Amino acid sequence: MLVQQIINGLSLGSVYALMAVGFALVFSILKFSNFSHGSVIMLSAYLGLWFSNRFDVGLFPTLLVCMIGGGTIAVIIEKIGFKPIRDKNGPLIYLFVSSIAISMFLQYLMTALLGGRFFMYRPLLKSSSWRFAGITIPIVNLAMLAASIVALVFLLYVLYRTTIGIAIRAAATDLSTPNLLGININMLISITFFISGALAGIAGLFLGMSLNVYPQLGGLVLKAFVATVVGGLGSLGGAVIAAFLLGLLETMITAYIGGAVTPMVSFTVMILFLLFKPEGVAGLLGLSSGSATQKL
Amino acid sequence: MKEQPKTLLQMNNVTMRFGGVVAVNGVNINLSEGRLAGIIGPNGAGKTTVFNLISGVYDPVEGDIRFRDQVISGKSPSEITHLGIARTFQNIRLFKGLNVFDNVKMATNCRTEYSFMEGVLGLPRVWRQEKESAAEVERYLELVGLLGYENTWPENLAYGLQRKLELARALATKPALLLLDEPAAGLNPTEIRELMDIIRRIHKELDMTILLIEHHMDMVMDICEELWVMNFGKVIANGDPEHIQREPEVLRAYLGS
Amino acid sequence: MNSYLASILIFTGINLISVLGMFLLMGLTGLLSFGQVGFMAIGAYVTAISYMRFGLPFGAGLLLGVGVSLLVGLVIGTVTLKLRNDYFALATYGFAEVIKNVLIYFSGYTGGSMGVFGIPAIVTLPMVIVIFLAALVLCRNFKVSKLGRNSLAIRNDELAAKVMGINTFKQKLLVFLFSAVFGSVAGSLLAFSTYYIEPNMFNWSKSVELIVIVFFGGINSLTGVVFAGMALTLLPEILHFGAEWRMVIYTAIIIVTMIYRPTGLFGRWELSLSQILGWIKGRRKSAVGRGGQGA
Repeated sequence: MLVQQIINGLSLGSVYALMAVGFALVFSILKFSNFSHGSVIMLSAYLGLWFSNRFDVGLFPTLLVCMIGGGTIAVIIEKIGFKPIRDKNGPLIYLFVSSIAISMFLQYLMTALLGGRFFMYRPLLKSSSWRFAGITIPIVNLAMLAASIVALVFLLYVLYRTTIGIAIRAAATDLSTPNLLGININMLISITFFISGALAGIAGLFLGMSLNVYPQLGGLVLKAFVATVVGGLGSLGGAVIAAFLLGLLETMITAYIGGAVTPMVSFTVMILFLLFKPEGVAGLLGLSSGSATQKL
Repeated sequence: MKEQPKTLLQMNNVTMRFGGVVAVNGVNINLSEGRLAGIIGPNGAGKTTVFNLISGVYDPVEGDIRFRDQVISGKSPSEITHLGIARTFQNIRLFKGLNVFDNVKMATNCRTEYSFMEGVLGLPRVWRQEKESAAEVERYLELVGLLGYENTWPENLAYGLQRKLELARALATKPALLLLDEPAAGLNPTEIRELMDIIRRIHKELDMTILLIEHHMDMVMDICEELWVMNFGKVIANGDPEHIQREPEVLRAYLGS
Repeated sequence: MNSYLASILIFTGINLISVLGMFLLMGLTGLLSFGQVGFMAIGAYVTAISYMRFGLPFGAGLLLGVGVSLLVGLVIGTVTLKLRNDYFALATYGFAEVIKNVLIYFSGYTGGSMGVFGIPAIVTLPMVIVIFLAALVLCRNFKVSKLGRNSLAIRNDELAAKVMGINTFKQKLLVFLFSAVFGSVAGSLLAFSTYYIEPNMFNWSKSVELIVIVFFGGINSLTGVVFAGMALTLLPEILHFGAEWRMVIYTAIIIVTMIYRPTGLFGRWELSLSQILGWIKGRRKSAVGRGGQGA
């Protein structure tokens, strides 16, 4: 029972990690909390649903379409909703407001167009669960865990071994440095949004498969937000660790205390971190130096 | 017996670090009341950090700062302003949402006495004090030569005028010590001469102690009575301008080594 | 007056009162808060429950609601106002959700998700108008006194505001509490004009509606916000939009505003009493305090 919960918790945490990394990636270079990330997740889930039904394909083609689709949606959102504000040197809070407005717009638009109905994915995997030594684990959870870990490792490779990755990390310290490396800032931001959106696409597909597809699915981005805050401002490593911990914590609480209190617990954890350890898990581990309070 | 001038500002062995970088390293500054003094030094020497430490934007890692014998390091920027220290910023930081008049008027806020409730209820005392502040604002605008620009938005002012507006805004807090961070940066020679006159007038007529950071050597040597020279976070020389110009270490810092 | 029209006007007036609170907080001070609806809920429930259960008169209940809102606001504000602006916004979202969940959970007093029924319609249109006008005067006084200047300075450059001697935390806390009072009063009025209240009336999307109105009218213009509030409350009523399409339109408005005219429709323009008098006398002055543009 406990082993089963731990594995389920880790796989939930792995999706949170995908969302959180995408969220933290944008935060690290543009310094605002991008809530439209949730609508990328939601739209990707609808896209995957439509694609897998329309062409009757399995998990891998759908995954690929969700990644490309998610990335593209994120770039379009950036071009329409953020770039005009960035061009005018608008304050960060405008970007934040715009991101919230976009996510609500898309959520209500989908509700208005399709209704609040729940759509179910047809089975994309051969078997539904895996039995081993008396424990039962949904296959979708295992696939989720595996896909997330592969994606995260690949991201790590991109960020630390490729020019574009190094430019993204440089931009996180100072948005003007990539210019010195001969990389166009707008291009770099688009690429960052694409990567972030592709990760959201994976998350959207798996969330859709395990929770069904509905307009409010994007609200789960709040988990990513909590993970990034607990992880420490814009620290990718911190966000991943915090996301896994959050997934475990939520699964344990749902299993042993009850699902009703789960949302309150994660929010409380976040507030406590903001108050007492604003530099987050990353700060605890010495990964970064940021602060959630406004000294400057 | 000659009366010793009183010390207004004292920095004792002040050190500031950012991560691993030591921006200010064991700085001692002793500024007497009534002085018009300057801090000079190459870029990155830690001059602006010294201002940020005095005005409370940063708290020093080591050492303490005293103003009129009271320890001010650790206090918040607004408390320090209330004690009588005002400053301008190197990269002009005017309030874009307020017009020229209100930019200066907001700086008088720290001396108005009415409370939040009185303010929203619009009691007579509010209007009386608002009127007094308005009269003061006109005086400061006149002093820096910005009369007639009251209703302009700061972003529409010419660069030189924006610098003057920052100066007027700092004056409006009625400080005993005025910190000017590169007041002449970006100004043309005519504007610099005007600025020097204004600074002298402030020093004489308003009886203010002034500490400024500046790169224009002619100006510094001309108006400052005392100088501190900084390099790599340390004070490498202190004295009157003639003395400073002959100091070998200063020449090395400036002419490169 | 026909009662349908009266009820729409009452609803508009109540909405405007909470919009004014949002204007001070988000418009002038730059603090994005989703918590405004939480204070509306507190005002509504405290007034309704104290009336229905304990027989407290409406006026006293309204004041009690304000008191509770101030206490809650003090705790929430002290904890959250030191955070970055976007973290503050999220924390206030959490606050609104917590309030809603508390209302559902403690069903013994609040009726749970069913809400409180049979609240008498004590609130009349003249009453709403008087309270709205009073709120408007308070806001105007706020804007033209040092309070408004402090808030605008904080919104534009918090560090520079501190250096110019503003205790920014204190100012933000006072504005937060003051706007909570507006929300609470609006909530109390709402409860006694709609016969029943339920937790879903106090969804965070209600706060978003208020935010939209403030951005649309203009974060610098009290006049603009009042007109935007009237237009955006009345239009959907008249056009009979469904709830989903209303939110689609609202959020589209905010996106377009943020992109093309972040200072809102009215920019910095304010209507003053002397101008109105001037118009009435037919002496139109061509220059009506029209300011420049930009943030």
